[in-house]
Amino acid sequence: MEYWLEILPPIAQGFKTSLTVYLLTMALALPLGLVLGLLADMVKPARPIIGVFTWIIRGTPLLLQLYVTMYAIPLLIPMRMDRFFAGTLTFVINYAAYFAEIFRSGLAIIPLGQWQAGQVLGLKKHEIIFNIILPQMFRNTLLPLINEAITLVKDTSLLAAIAIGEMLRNAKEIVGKDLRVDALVIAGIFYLLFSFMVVSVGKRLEKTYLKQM
Amino acid sequence: MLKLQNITYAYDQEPILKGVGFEVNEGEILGILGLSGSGKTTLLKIISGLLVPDEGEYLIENQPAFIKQKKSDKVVSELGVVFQQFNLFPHLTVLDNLVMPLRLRTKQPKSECIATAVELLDVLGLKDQIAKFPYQCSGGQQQRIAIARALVLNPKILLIDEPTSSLDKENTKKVEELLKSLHGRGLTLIIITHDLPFAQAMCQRVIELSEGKVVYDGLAASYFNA
Repeated sequence: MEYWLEILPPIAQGFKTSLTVYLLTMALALPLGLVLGLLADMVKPARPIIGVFTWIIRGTPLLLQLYVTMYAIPLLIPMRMDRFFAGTLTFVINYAAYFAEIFRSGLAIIPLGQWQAGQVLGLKKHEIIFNIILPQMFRNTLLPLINEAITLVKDTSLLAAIAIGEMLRNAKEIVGKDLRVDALVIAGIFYLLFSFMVVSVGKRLEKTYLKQM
Repeated sequence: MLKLQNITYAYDQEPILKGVGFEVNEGEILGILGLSGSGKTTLLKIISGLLVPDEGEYLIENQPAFIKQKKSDKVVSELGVVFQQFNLFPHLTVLDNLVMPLRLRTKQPKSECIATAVELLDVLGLKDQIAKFPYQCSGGQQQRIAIARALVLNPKILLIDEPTSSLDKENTKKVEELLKSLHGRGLTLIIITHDLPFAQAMCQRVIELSEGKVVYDGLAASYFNA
C-alpha cells in the first residue's frame, strides 16, 4: 500500500495529461467532424476532397500520423514542434475524420421525406437543418460516437510514442525502474475507471435521446 | 384558386408530365387518379412546390407559384400537404410535430402555439396522444397527426397523397369522415389516390392521369358511372 501511494502521483499526473488530450480531442474533433460530415453530405464539390482526407486518415495508423506530425513536419517546414500540441493536433484530425464519416452516414439514412416535410411546412433551410435533420442525425450516430469515445480513452496511450508523459508511459518508466508491475495495475485501473465514466455518460445519453426510437 | 397550364416535367430526359393542365376551384374535393407511373407523385411534388416544372404555368390565387425557380410564399401559405408516408418527425412528440413548425413560421409565443396545437389535436381526436412519439401511435393515428400538422398553419387547400394506402377498412372510413368534416369547414381538398371506391365516396370532381397526360377531367359521378 505504501508503495502504491508512492507511485500514484506520477501516474495521476500522466492521467491528467491523457484526460486533457481526451477532452481537447472530443471538444475539437466533434464540431470539426460535424462540419466535414455536413459538407460531405450537402456540398457536392466538397465530397471528393473530404473523401480523400478521410481515406488517408482512416487508412493509416494513428501511430504513423503521430510520427508524421511530430518528426516529419518539422523536417519539411523548419519549426520547433511542441509534443503536446503535436499529439493533440493529430488526435483531433484523426478523430475528426472518423466522426465525419459517422455523421455522414447518420445523415445519409435520414429519409428525403423529412426534408420535404420541412419544405412543405415553409421552413427555411437552416430551420430544417437545426430542427429536423441534426437532431435525427445525432440520434442515428449516438451509438457509434459512444464507441469512438471509448476507443479514444485507450488511444491516448499512443501519446507515449512521441514521448508525452501520459499515464501508460509514466507507469512503464516506474516498472522499468522498480522492476515491479504494480504501476501497470494502477494504470489499468485508471483506464477502466475512465472508460466506465465514458460508458456511463453514453448510457445516460442513450436513455435520453434514443427513447423515441 | 389553383391553376396549372401545360405543365411538363422530365426526369433524366424522360418525360413524366406532358402538358398537364387543370384548375382547382374553391371549396371542391378534387380527386387525382391514375395508375402507378402515370405521373401522380410528380404532379403532387409540383403542386406542393417541391419540384419546379420544366415548362408551363402554375398559379395560386392568380399569382405565380414559382418566382425565379423558387416556390413563392403563396404555395406554403395556401397549401397543406399530407404525404403518403406521413413523414412525421420521429424525434418529436405528437404535440411538438405541430408546435415546432407553428413556432418557426408564426413566431408566436410557445404557449400560444401549444394552445393552438392542442385545440387542433383535440378536434381530430388525438388529445390523448400529444405526449407520445409518432412510433407509439397506430397508422390511422399517424395519418391524423400528419393531417393536423398540415392544418396547423391554417391552409386553404389540403393536398393529401394516397390517404388510404396503409389503412384498414375501419380507418379508411374514419379518414373519409374526417376529410368530409374538414371540407364542411371550408377546406378545399385535393386527393391523390388509386383507391377508386374511396375516390367515388369522397370526390366531387376527378382528374385521371395516364402516361403524364390528363385523360379525364370532369364530374366524379359521370366518371364512375361511365
